[in-house]
Amino acid sequence: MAFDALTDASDEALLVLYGNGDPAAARSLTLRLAPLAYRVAYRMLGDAAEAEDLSQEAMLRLWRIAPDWRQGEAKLSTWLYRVVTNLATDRLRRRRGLGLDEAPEPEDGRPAVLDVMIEADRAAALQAALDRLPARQRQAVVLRHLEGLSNPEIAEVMDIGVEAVESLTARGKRALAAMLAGQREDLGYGHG
Amino acid sequence: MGMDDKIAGADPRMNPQMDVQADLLAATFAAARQSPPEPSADFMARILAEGLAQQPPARAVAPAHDLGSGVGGGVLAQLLAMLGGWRGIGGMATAALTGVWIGFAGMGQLGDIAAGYLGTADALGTVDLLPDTDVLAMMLDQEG
Repeated sequence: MAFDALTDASDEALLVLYGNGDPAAARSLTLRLAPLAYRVAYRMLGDAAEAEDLSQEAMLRLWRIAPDWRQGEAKLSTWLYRVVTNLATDRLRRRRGLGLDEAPEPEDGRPAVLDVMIEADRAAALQAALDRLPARQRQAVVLRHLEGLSNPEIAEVMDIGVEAVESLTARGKRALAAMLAGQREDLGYGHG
Repeated sequence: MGMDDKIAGADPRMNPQMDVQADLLAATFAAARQSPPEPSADFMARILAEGLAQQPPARAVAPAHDLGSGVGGGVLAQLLAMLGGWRGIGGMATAALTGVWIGFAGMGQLGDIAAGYLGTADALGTVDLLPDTDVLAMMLDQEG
């Protein structure tokens, strides 16, 4: 990050600097947090254009919250994870027109995964499988296994208990594993 | 990232198929982490532009007085600058008032001023250059 001159400052301190009118803080926050917002939005929605639209909306909320941000209350990244995943969940609900938590879990080895898989690489296969997970499971799995958050952090983002997080990730992983098991040849595991 | 990518609740010794699935999933997670979706440069530019547009104005800082320039500054401003600005002028005024006060108080008061700095004569001690008059009278009586 060649032009991130404020590399030592925390995200929260940068937001305060941004609120004080420091343009360098705007650049640093963009470099740090816009990729995070886009990455999570893409994992949740599986569509680049929608991910850009959603992450731009989340970043706009971030800019606007700056004057009211109180240091020490929360991590800015946790706040952003919450905004992005909540916006994504809302979009998924509108897209499918039903409560996703009531949606049936995919069956083991569901052939539809093969159909939607355009590329044979593992990341694309995972995204295709993620797209078939119920929203809350997808949210928990993405935060835990792709973003590296701890269970307590995820509980804070999702506003649920740690046990509920563990349950969601376990169910999500079982479903993903079952879906990917049918893709072993395509994923390069067929000769192991 | 130190994440447990194994499937919770699955004992691979009891179910080899689940072990294979767990390994596959762990490898897939690792691959996905290695190649995360990256935003385009255009998107990043849009986010930054919006951030700058939304940014509150920088807090105003009062400009420093420029004593040596400007139409209204002129000779007075240059004189002030030469004498060290208003702070220098203040020091000079204090010195001048002190001189006036010393002149008004007169030399008779210098003893008081000196006592103020050096202490009283008793505190400093005295040296008698002539013996006490009583002792001198006694010596004259003995000779006579």
